[in-house]
Amino acid sequence: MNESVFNRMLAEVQKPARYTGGELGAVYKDPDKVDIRFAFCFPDLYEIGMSSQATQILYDVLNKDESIWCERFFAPWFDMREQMEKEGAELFSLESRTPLSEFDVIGFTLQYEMSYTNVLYMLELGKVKLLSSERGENDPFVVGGGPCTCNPEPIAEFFDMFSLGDGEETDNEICHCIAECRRRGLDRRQTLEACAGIEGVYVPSLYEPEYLPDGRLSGYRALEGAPALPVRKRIFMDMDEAPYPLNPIVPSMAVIHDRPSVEVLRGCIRGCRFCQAGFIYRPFRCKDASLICTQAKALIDNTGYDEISLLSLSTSDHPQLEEIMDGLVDWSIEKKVNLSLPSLRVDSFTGTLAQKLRQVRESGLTFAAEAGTQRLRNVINKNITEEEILSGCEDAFMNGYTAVKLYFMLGLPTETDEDVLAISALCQKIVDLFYSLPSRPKGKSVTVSASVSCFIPKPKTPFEFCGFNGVEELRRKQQMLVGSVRSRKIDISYHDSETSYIETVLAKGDRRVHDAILAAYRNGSIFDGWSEGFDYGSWLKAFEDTGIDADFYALRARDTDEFEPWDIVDYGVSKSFLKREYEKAVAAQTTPNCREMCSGCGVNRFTGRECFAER
Amino acid sequence: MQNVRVFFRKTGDARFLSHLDVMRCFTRALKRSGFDVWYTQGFNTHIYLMFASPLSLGFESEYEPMDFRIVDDTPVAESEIIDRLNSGLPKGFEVFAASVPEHEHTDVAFSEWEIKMHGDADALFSAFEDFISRDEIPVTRKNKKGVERTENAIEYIKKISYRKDGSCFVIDAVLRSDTSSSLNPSLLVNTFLSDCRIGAEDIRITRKKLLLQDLEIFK
Ligand code: SF4
Repeated sequence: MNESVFNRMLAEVQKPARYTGGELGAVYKDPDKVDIRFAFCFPDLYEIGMSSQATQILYDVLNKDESIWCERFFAPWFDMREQMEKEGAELFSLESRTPLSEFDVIGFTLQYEMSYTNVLYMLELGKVKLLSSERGENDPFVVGGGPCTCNPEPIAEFFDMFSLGDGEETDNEICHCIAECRRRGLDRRQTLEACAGIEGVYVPSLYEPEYLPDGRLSGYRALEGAPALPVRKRIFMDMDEAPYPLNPIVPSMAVIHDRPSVEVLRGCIRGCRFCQAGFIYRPFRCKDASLICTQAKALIDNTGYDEISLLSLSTSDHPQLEEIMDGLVDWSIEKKVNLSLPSLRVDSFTGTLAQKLRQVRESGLTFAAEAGTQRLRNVINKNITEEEILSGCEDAFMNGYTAVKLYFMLGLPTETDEDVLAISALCQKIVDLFYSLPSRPKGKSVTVSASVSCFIPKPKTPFEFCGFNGVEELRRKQQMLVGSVRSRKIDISYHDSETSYIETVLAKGDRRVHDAILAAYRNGSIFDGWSEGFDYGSWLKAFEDTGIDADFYALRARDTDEFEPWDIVDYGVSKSFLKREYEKAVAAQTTPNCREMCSGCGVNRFTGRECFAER
Repeated sequence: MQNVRVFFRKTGDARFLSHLDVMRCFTRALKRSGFDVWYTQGFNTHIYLMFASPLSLGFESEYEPMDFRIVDDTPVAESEIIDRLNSGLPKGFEVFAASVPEHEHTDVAFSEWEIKMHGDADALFSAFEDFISRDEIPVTRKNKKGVERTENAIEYIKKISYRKDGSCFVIDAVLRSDTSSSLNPSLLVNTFLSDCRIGAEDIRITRKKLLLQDLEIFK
């Protein structure tokens, strides 16, 4: 990148620090001294990408390897795109300002489906061919990783390979494999075949989908040299050995999640049926309490932040929670460090621990209730009761809190209008509870805010067989819910159902859907996760023009025996388990958590051992 | 308790960080330094730090003061402060001095600026010669209430000279910059460029020094 071009562009944009690099912890190497130059791409803004732990972990692991230099790329915002187009500039890395097309490996992390058009946007800005089939001998290899790869098919045509599951080791192995193939003079196809031999790597061009006359999938044909399907995800079992960045990049400008985090555990024992993360990150693995404390302290010492968060799907489920808190609470008070505990459950918020925690945790209280009635909470296996929510609120109000936030979903399987109305009724009960307490905070009023999202049936969950509730039906429910609120203390916010509908198509699509993604991108769709970017009309036109029937993917309830595009990747949980869970869901039966009882989800086929030996 | 004043440079890409970002970077660098720094009291306690005259986004500086306090009175070597802070700052920042504050922030009366631009240096030179010799250079800006006000920029200029440096045109100016009134150098440049209608690009504005009323250096 020419320096005066760079300066000209940056002088014209709102937040130039998104594009400069140079943060504390950024890694600079001599490009002539490495074998592989790796372009880490996060298909969203800098401040989103730098808030992700995936960025920090992969950057650290790749750069610890002397033969690799990993540099960062983020999606330029609209104002920067305008400047780049004006100057004819290619997408460049933050560290050395090298064009994307000059890298050997391009690795995208796919955290949410609505970033798919940004993958195309970044590739094109970087002058890299969009389709894997168009890339030739001198082109970079484009790799995808992250949670979305549990159904890689809708974007399979854009990627040369996917890294499934825990990526701590896979990306480095891919780099070494590519370097080795280059030394041996192998061509692109041979290199891809070699990469397919790495544990957790799926190379889509080695398989061809086959379809039934009615449009459903019938199966896949493996080409010569392709490993058998399904491809298993990679699991990093020992959390105490997992590489963890203790000198992360510290963004100089404000980002969304502006604090370091310690991952305390991976996986989840709860099995909430709507939650994809709860299934695809199994099995449940914990980091040792003393290591968590050491890492937290090192992170604060190394970065100078005054806040740290403990990262997991459910921190309360760590068996050594008391020890972690003992190790951190007094330290954090002494060091004036805020402890952020985003996923601590209500039921662990009691007693002396709670009192100590109140000194260090941020104000405000949140509950993921997810559904308004107990019946529907049983359907989704969210085992939090109304009594728990109310007693948690009471406890909080007595301790001076005046704001409660609840999270709900609309459009859940088996949902009725009664379930919807129960959401506002629950909010009202919390308001009434506040005013019924003689010892409530004096002279203050209460606010109960409910954030209501649209349920998206995701692959690898028991609801993968279900259809999306529908754009209009969700709107009707949203209106009904808002209309049922009788108190000004209650604030209901809801999500746009059009975005969720498109997200469902992208989550549940097969390989043919890539045509529509490409067409939407050509219609101008980028930053679909942003109101500034999302354009429903662009997507509808894309489906229309490409002949992709979006309802076929999003709305259709699927037979439990149907061959699904995501059946070609094995994330541990078996299809028979998901079927059983689905049947129990419909019957509103709950499933105990993994610590109480093993429900035989199948992930221990991978690990070869019981998840909870002490049970 | 001891007051410490450090001086730092903010150059290169660091110019793209806003004043708020700079404060956050220094807060972390202080926390990370391990010095027993003083926190403000009260409900929302945070590390105490003070900047004399905030720098606009896009400007570079070779002379930015920042004050903080160390709880303990034991003297700390200057090099110790410099090294520990520098190791915790992003690229483009460089702390180069640390001492006991000599002047008050309110003693700052002027900033010395270097304004450098690329373009037709000869044309810019003669146009500026004409521009700056006028008795009145009206500049319009909004006050805090959003009311527009036109003033004479000349009244804010203490010293000014200009030169050619290769293909660059350079202005060296000492402009008023006290708490009650100041002139932002970009306002002067923009007024000049729209007046003379000559193209210039990659305009770089650097603060060289902060000065007192008698033009002595602020320390
Ligand atoms: S194998 Fe059993 S205990 Fe382990 S994650 Fe699956 S259901 Fe839970």
